[in-house]
Amino acid sequence: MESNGRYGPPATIEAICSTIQSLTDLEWSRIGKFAGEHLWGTDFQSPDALINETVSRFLAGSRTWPTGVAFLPCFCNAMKSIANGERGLIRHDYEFQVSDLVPPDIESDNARNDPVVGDASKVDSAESCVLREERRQAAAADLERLEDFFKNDDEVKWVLMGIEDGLSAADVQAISGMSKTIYETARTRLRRGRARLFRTGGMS
Amino acid sequence: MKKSKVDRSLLVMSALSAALADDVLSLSESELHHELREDKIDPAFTAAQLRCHALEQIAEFRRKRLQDARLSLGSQIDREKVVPPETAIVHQRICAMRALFVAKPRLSLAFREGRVQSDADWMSVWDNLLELGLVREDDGSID
Repeated sequence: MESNGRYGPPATIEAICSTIQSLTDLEWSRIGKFAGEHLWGTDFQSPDALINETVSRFLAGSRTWPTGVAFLPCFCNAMKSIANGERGLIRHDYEFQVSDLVPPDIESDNARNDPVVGDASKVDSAESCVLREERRQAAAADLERLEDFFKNDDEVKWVLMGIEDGLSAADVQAISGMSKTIYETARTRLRRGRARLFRTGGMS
Repeated sequence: MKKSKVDRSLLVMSALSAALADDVLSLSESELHHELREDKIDPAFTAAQLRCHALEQIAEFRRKRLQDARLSLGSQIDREKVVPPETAIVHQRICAMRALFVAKPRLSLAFREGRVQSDADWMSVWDNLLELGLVREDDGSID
């Protein structure tokens, strides 16, 4: 990951090491909790595993810390990105646009890959297809479990709907008629309930 | 192609992870303390565990970096190392250095045992001269 100059030059590995060494107990607890929230759908068995992976990527230089931003959000952002990568970016696999069907222009550097045949480098193995299907099924079961858990909590249902549709907190509050405090309390309830249900938010 | 129900589940669950994790970042310190207390999590203990693993990784990274530096330095020295000259040539060169011993009265050469020296003796003298900077490594090359 290249650092954008806007956020300052990348920190040296030694600076990253000494910053990690100087993190406070509460900062570690926050990192652990953040990692826990991101475990769902990944192969990481514990927050610790995701944190270790992130540290190793920083040390290897595949992740950088632009010195213009605070370390903790930068580290958490890296964890988020790694977790998202682990979930497999499934959403792109079955969707293509009509324009993709235009015969590929082999003379052009911008030639699209045939969406039916696909890009040879991106052809999935049978094993990965099976794995992806398993993850889809697991996601469906988990969402059902979560919705069932909150079936009597209308406020949490609003929050869930807002997150699903990518709505802002203000929009959800406007649509649902919830006050800011009620919305925030419901959102906390959702987070805490989900963590207990899937044991994701806690730390070992 | 229309998204199936299972695809929707995956997207919602992923979006939930991202959104709720971001909420953790915006918790105030007192809110975070409160949640940790509620979950019966001791921040000092948790932090010690996470910190310990991270520090182990850092220590391992530094050890490896040091090893790599040593290896790299070693290979550099190996590249620059000149093949030691043959003993006969060394013997010849040292004998031809009488002028040097005359010019440097404080420099003398003596062998512990007799007049006949082994190849190892001559090579040892050659190494000493190299260390003193009185000959260069490539002085041993055949003319």
